[in-house]
Formats: sequence, structure tokens, C-alpha cells
Amino acid sequence: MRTGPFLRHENATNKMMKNLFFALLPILFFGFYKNGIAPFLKGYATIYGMIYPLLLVFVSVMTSYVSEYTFIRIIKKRGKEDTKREMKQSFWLFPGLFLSLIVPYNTPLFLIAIASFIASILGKMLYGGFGYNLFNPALIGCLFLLTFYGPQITSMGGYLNTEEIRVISGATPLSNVSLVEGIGSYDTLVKPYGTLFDFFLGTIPGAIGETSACLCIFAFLFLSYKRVIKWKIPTFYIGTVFLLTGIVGGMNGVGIWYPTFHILSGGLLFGAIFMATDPITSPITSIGQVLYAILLGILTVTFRYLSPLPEGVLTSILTMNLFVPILDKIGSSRGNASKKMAFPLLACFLLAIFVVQHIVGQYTQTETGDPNFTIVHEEEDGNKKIYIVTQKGNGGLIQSKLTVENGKVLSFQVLEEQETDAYYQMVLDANYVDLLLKNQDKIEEVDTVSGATISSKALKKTMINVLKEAGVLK
Amino acid sequence: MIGVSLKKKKEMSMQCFESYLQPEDVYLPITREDKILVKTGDLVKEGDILGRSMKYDLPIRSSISGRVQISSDASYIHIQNNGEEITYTKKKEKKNYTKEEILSLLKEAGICGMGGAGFPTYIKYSTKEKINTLIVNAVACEPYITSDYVCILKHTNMILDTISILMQTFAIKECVIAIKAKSPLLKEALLTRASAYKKIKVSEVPNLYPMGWERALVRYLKHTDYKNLPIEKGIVVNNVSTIYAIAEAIFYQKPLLDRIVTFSGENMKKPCNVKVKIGTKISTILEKIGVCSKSTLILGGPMMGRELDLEQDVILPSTTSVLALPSKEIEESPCIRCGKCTENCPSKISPILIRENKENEEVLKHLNPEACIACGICSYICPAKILVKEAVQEAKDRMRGRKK
Repeated sequence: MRTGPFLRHENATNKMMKNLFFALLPILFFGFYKNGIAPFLKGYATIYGMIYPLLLVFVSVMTSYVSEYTFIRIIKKRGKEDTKREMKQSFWLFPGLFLSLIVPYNTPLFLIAIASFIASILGKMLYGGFGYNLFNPALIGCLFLLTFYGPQITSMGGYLNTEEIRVISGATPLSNVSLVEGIGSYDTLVKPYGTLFDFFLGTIPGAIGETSACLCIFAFLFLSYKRVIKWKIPTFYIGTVFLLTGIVGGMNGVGIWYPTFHILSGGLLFGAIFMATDPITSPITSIGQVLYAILLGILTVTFRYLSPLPEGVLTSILTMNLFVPILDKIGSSRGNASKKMAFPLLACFLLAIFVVQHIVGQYTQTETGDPNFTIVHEEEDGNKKIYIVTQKGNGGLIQSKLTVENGKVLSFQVLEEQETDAYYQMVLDANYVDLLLKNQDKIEEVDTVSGATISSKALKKTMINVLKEAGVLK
Repeated sequence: MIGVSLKKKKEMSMQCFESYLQPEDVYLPITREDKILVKTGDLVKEGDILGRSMKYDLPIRSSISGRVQISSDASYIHIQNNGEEITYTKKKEKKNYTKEEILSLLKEAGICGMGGAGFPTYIKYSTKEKINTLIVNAVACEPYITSDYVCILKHTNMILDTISILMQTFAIKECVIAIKAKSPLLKEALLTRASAYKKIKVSEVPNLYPMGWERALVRYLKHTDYKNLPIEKGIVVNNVSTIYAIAEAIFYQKPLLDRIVTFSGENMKKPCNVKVKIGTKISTILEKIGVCSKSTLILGGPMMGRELDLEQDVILPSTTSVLALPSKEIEESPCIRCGKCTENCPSKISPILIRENKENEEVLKHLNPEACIACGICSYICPAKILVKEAVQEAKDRMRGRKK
């Protein structure tokens, strides 16, 4: 015999998904405007360049559709009608759409298609389809793309759109972080991109969906009001990152702009609001959600400071996806909430202290030397001293050979570099190495090559570091 | 405060009140353990004792006068109405009652909880604990149901006098009548009269379901929790219709023979509150009121009720309402793990995790399905329209069976 409830809440899965799509629309339009229309109007992009952001989204979404349809029809061997019905419940739009919003702008269309295929099939359908996947599908696709094609895409311009490639030095705010001295300063972190307000608006380099903080926050408010997303996750995630980077900044004597820079940079807001809240791959219980979010924050900070990954959001979320069952186990066990929370929270607290201490320790050491500079080989040849050194550039390490005699650098030869061709050509065109040699007495005053700041700065640093090593500079 | 806000739909049945006190037949359910004092062919009068229910030692009383027929499987006593009516007249009011007098009155009148649970009222009061607080539950937090409201509006004075007598007899310090916020009619009716009774307070509780749940009321009004029964904290909770039944027993010496039942819902042709005899077959009342075709018929509220059995179901003291709602096909889709069932569960358990592990007793031990009160919020709120409550109840039965 049927029992109650005989009433059902008007909310339904498809309504939630519709709202999620509505929340993404402004972000999508902004991405199209910023990366397509604006560069076109300013004459940086062709018509193809203008519609490229839309093409990227379209190819990604269509690949999702085709992959899922084919999977259901051929692998699961469903009839036409059944396939149609299953597709309706599969919400095929999202892996592809999310993926296209978080990948580098310069991802070639065939690569986004492969990544989207991976996202839908490997990230979702093989687990049993919508509702059963363990990891966030879009992030699986993105991880695949960045792991296997990351360097290739970076060499093609990475996250920079046609306009930024010419105007800005060549790095996104977060990849720039690893290039500056220590934890950086307002002048080195924020100024190259404008002000923090530009970060808020989203007129900075980054993936199509990720740059506009204000639209992400707007989407967060809308989706929380509509009860589509688990609001606790973004709140505690972003809060934790803000707090931890704030402490790191505070201990290095920088102001509140520093944690603000961190939460507005890269994919944190977008990731926290859209990817970490993916219902299927995040905890069900409130306590689970809070712990999940705090751990995400700690992990992201750890990745950003202590690993070669500048971003940290993607890897943090995929890592934490694995711990969802454990967190829900804590959240759903008997006993009152504060008792259940006490021990895990204490563990999070200790972990956070450990991480912050480690970061502060690492970044204070660097005040005595440049962490991006290494001497590979050093030999004496009469009065001459020959150094083979590496310096971190935009695309990797730049290896150079410098000869010093009587406190003067005689020759400066770049042996190996992996810089973006377009930028490095600008450095070569400017005869920058010669310029450095000529002006080595007042080396600090030599300007970098505009448009190729990071590559030229790396060469300048090489020179400075070698002069320091030789005892010429202090 | 955990709960959900539901569309109340109370106004539907508030305008109409009818009596249906002379049904042709009544059927009084009995069990094999009950001691039956009549036999087929006997002539009985309204209010006569037909037997005693052994479980709680309550009398089984005939709600109409007529000829007795005991069903062949001894599952009910059928009485064919001969039209003879008994009128109960108001007895002289007594100043003081002893506890024993009231307890025996409650027991012999066959009064039991009329809010849905049907627990004998005399047992609640025959406690060694000191009763400090009486909470009168007039919340009726499920949509459509207005029987309690009508009862208050019709009998405000008698209800307040009865509360007063109960408080005096059992030396109860305070009484809180809990009503839903934003029910101006009730509030006005109670407040204008309750002011004469110093120790009776009228409290508004939030418009949330399941606010009428005993535990939720005690939590909200007294900020305390109990293990099994509210009496552990010196609290007795009575439904307002139960109080009215007590009133009739005290002032008219009338046992519990009838009650007000809400007949409502979009598919009920004339939504109404009807005063009906206990044991009346529900289908005969529905024939009078009229029900649209393609209806889902529900016994009880839309949240905690069950599908009506037209053949079998009769009015019981615990029957609050009968609803006719438009039938709807509900298609289930995969769980998206949104966590809404967990977030909204008043018992603070995780329904969907219980569903996923309903076969796994080791895991279920930690998930505590026994705490489920079957409020149905999990199934109601689920965007994938999964029958979560059913699964939790299954797990609950499994764990209960294990203990035995």
C-alpha cells in the first residue's frame, strides 16, 4: 500500500540544471565579449578570432553530446526512444560546457574535442552515467588536457587571448606568482594587470569562464537562493584560502590586498562555486561539506605555494572527490554535530598551521637568494670565470653561459630556452642580451622588453645573479 | 529550526461543517486478544460497552444503537443502526476532582490520542512523575487538515475549562496551547478567552512541517529534548481534539463515540469538516460528499497518511482527515546527491545514505534509521523524486527486527 508523502516539492533535477545553466550564461557572454568581441573591435582579432571562444564552447558541448549519445546507443545498446529518454536524464550539456570554460583559451579545437570526449566518457559514462561518477567529469577532461598537452598549449599562447598576447607580458596572474621574488608585492602581482578592480570585473588573462569574479559571485548568490548548490562549500573553501593566504601575507608584511588577490586569481571562484559544488561528487551531509571545503582550501594553498602547480584548484577538487565517502561517514554518524566536528576540525586546524608554517619558512629563506636561479657549472680559466646557470623563465628554465673577467661580464650566451616563440623573438629583435652586456654597470635600470616582460626579466635576472655571484654586485 | 514550509490549503475546508451521526452501519475493529462481551444478534444502545481491548485495557463502546453482528473472522463488530438516539445532557459541574476520578473517566470514556497516534490518554496522566507542563497541540502542521481548528472554534470555552480542570487536578504549573503562526482566527478565539485563565498561554509556532511533531514542539516551546517520552521532562502533550473528548467526558459523561474529520483536497467535490461516528465506513461518507474521478484517496494527512482502502477503512479516534488529491504519475530519476533530504531531516539522519546501505546492517548501525519518524520530508523534497522514506522505513524495520 502506498504511503505518504503524496505531495512533492516543485523543485526537480531538471529545474536545478536549468538554473545552473542560467547562472552560467552571463559568464559565457562575458567570456565571449572579453576574448572575442573586444579584441576584434580593437583590431587584434580576425572574425575567426572573434567567434573562437564560442567555437571552443560549441565544439566541447557537441562532443559531449555525441559521445554520450553514441555511448548509450552503441555500448549500452539502447533503442532510439530509450536513448532519447536517457539523454534527457543525462544532462550531457555540462561536462562539455564546464570544460570549455576552464581550459586555456588557445586550446585547439581538436584537443578540446578529445578532452570533452574524455570528460564525458571516462569521467562520467563509464561510471554509470549521470549521478554515479566519482570525479568531476569536466575536471577529468581538463586534467587530461593539461597533463598531455599543457606545454604545447602554453607555447601557443596558453590562457592569453589575441589581445593579451600582444599587450601583457605573457603570464596569467597566478603563473606570474612563481616568477616574482618572495611572495611578491602589489607592484609585481597586481599592477601588471591593472588594479584589483580589474580582477573583480574579470578583464585579466585567464580561462573563458574563470576571470570574472563579480559574475561568479552573482551566480553564487543566485544558485544559493534557488537552492541549486551547496552554499557551504564555496563559502568555507574561499574563506579558508582567504584566511591562510592572509596569514602568509601578514607574516610577510603585506596588506589585505594579498589574500584578495589570491581569491580573485585563477579558477578559485569559478571552481569553488561551480566545480566543488557539483552535487554528485561532493558530500551530502552538512558536516561533510564544511570539512570538504576547509580541506579544499588548505590543499589549494598548499598546491599554490609548495608545488609547481600555480593554480591548485583543479587538483584539490579531484583529490578531495576521493574523500567524499569518508567525510560523509563522519557527517552521518550518530551523536550531536559539535561532537562530530570537534576532532576533524582540530585536525584541519593543525594541518593548516603546518602548511602555513612551511610556506612562511620556505619564503623567508628565499630573501637571501633567488630561488629561480641555479648554478649548474662553474669553472676557472686563468683570470676568467665561466658560469653555466639556469633562471626560470616563462616556459621553463633558461640555461645560459656567462664569462666574467675582472668584475665584468665578457660574454652572455643563451644555451637553451623553452620560451614562447613569439615572445622570445621580441627579445632577440631587441638585442636584449647585448643591451644587458653594455649596461651592466647600471644593470638595475635596464628596462625589460615590453610585450615579453617575463622572458626578458629572466635574462636580466641571470645577469644580476651572476654579477652577485662574482662579487661585483651586492 | 528544521522543517519545510508547505502550502497550507486550510481555507478549503474551513467554510463548511456537517454532521453525519446516523450511519446505517458501523464497523468497530477488534483483535483476537480483545475480550468481547456481546454476541451476534444482541441489541445494544449507543455508548454500551461491547468488550475491552486488552492491550491498553480500554472499553470498546458502541457508537450507535442497533443489532450486533460479529464478523466470521472476528476482526470487527458490525452494528446495524436501529435509529435510537441517546442524548447526553450537561451534568452539574463539580468543583474538585481527584486524580483517580479523572483517570477513571479518561479510561472508561475510551479516550485516546486523536492527533494521529491513538495512544490512550489515561496512561499519559497515570504517571509517578510530576507533570509540570501541559502542551495542547493545535498545530495541525499538515496541509488541508482543519479538524483541530474547527474543534477549537466551536468549543473554545469547554476546551479552556477542561484544561483548567486538568491543571488543577494534576497540579500542573503551566499550559501552552501551540497554534500555527498566522492563523488569526484561532489566535483571536483563544486569546480573547484564555486571558481569563492565568496559567494558560497561547504560543505561536513557525509555519513549518513537522512542527506538530511532539518532539519538535517540546524542542521549540521548552528548549529541551527527551529520550522516549516527554514525561521524562515533566511534560504531557495532548492534541486539542483529545482535550475536547475529555471535555465531553467530564461535562456530559459522554464517552468517545464521534469526532470531527476533515474531508478535503482538490478532488473532493465539497470539502468539509464532518462530525462522524467512530466506526463509520469512510466510503459511505465519501459517497455523500462526492469525489472526482482519477483521484488519489488518502487516509490521514498528505505527508504522513496512507492510501485509503475503500473496502476496509472506517473512522477511528485517530482519523484526522480523508483527502482526495488529483492522481499524479511520479517518475523517479537517479540521485544527484544534492543532500536536501539530509539537510531537511527533522531527526537529523541521512536518508539517502540509509537508502544506499539499506541491506548493510553494519553500516546502518551508524546511520541510525530507527530515529526516522516517517514524516516524509525526504521523499517530498527530493528533486529526483526518489521514494526515500520507503527505503528508510525498510531499513528501520530491518534494524528493529534485528534487535528482537
